[in-house]
Amino acid sequence: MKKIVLILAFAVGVFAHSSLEVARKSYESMSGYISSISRTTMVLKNAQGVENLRKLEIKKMENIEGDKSLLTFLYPLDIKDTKLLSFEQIAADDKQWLYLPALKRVKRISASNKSGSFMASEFSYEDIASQNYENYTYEGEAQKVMRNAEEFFKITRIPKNENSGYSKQILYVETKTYLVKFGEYFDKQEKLLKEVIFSEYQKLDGIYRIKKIEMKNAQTQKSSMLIWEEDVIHANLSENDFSQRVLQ
Amino acid sequence: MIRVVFFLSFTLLLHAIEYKSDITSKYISYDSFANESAMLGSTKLKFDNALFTTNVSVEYFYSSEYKERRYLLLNELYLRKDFEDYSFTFGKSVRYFGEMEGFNIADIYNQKNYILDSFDKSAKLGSWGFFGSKYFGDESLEIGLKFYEEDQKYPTDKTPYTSFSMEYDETLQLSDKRATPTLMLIYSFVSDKLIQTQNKIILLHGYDNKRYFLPLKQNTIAQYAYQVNKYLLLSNAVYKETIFKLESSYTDVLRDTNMGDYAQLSFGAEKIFYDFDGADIGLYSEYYRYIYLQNSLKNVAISELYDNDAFVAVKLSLNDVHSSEIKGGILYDLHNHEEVYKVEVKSRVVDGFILNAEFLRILPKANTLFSAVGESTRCTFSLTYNF
Repeated sequence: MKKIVLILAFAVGVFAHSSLEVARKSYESMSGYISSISRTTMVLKNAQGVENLRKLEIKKMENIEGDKSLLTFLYPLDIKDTKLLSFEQIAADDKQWLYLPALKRVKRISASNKSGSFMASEFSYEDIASQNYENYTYEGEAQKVMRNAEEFFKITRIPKNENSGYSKQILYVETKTYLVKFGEYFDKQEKLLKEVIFSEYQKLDGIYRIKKIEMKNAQTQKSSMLIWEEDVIHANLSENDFSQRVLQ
Repeated sequence: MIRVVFFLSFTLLLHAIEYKSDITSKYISYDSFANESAMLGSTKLKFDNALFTTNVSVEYFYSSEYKERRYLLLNELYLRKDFEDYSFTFGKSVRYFGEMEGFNIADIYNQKNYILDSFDKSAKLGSWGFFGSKYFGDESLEIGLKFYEEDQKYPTDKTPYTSFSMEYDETLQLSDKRATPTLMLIYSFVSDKLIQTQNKIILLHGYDNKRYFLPLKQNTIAQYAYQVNKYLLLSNAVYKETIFKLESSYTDVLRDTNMGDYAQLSFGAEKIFYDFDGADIGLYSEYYRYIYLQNSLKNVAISELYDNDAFVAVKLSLNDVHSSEIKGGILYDLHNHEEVYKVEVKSRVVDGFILNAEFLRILPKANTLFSAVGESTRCTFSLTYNF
């Protein structure tokens, strides 16, 4: 009897997944692209259903100390060539610079704007930043749950950065692929703020890449969709492509 | 056949050119001058070939009321070549140096476009020159050469944009030859030791960007350019959610009997509060000081407006689908108690169309430079189309 109990306990230990482990595997399933160049369209929809478009080019580079990214706004035309350069710093405020073409000015901006709206969308700056699992703490074991007749790991993560707009995020991670498919983000008052659907992925050179994210504000009913129209990984970008000289 | 080749070449050229244009229809109401309707705009072209990138910017303004506010200007025409760690630009260009939001004492390369609007920070005139930059990590070293000094146009007292009660002769008077070059050395570096700071040291030898006014004959004045050695320090520091900013300069005036050495200092802070019911609120406060180091000569620097002035501004970004913004600012002269108020509202009505409304109120005191402008109010409504 003791043997059976011991075996069962061992089996549970082997097959249970900690939330941290699921998050790490999920992050790793999308890592290894080294550098990428993407073209995206963002569709903004207000509560009445009126749509507006934004287009941007995103250059990214993986870095052990934190990913680097350069966003160039392409549309609407009044903000064309505006650029945002970000250096992610694990568990600290990122470094960010904004290039304003009308003034030819490179402006340092406070990167504590985690919760600020990105391009007037329902995505905040922290939503579009690298989702490095080390930027969060995790609560206990991942629970296996069924949703839309599919099996998911349900994990809860808490942002380490005190400037985050979220108190916690619940993610539904596909058990087979470790890809995040749904999320529920809670505000500082622990009320549901946003619901996110990571609705399409593609696999490039064995690495999963997101193709479509839908973000809905549960409190205002506004929504935004981010669609990757072009995506090139292993794009041979170097540190020079993310230095301040590119902001000119 | 020639026509076909020409057409194909032209089509290919058009395809290779990146362009961006805007056209604005504006109505401006003045309290003490005739109102004006204006059409203005710009076209920016960028053309890459195997050797370099060519950048061109053309700007135009047509006022229904004031003939002086009509111009077509080739404001930029420069070539740029980038290498791994170097970049070079040659030609007529606009550059920006500064940290402050209201006024930049360090913005020393270009002259302002006073015909357009002295209160518009982006209204600058391109200067002919060369810049060579060497980049090493987060640091860079630049050498700049401004080839010569250009005449400066000012609106006359027949327009609402003047500060003169005398006739202005636009031919620039100079302490040396017009084509004497001005040399600039710019070193940019960062520090992350205690707090994140980003700094720039600029050394300038040549003509000062500030010029003074010289009486030419009875009732006529002209602008006078003098030579200096100038030393500038620009810095910004990020501490938590606040950005602290500094611009400072010391100017050693060379061989000029009318102008004394002077120093300028400005400092300020910027703090943004995010996600107030979806909106962001930015608060800006700045202070500007002009220090005369040779008191007996100070009257020639009468053109200095930003002396012992405080600037406070707020920006509300609504983060709606129209990218609506409301900005308001006060410039207050702590010595003369003069005030300038500006409020601006901007919203994208349809993709490509921007609606803008602006209110400007100037409250000068007697016997100051501003008193020539007089108490005035300006209301502007404009619609811009970007294509």
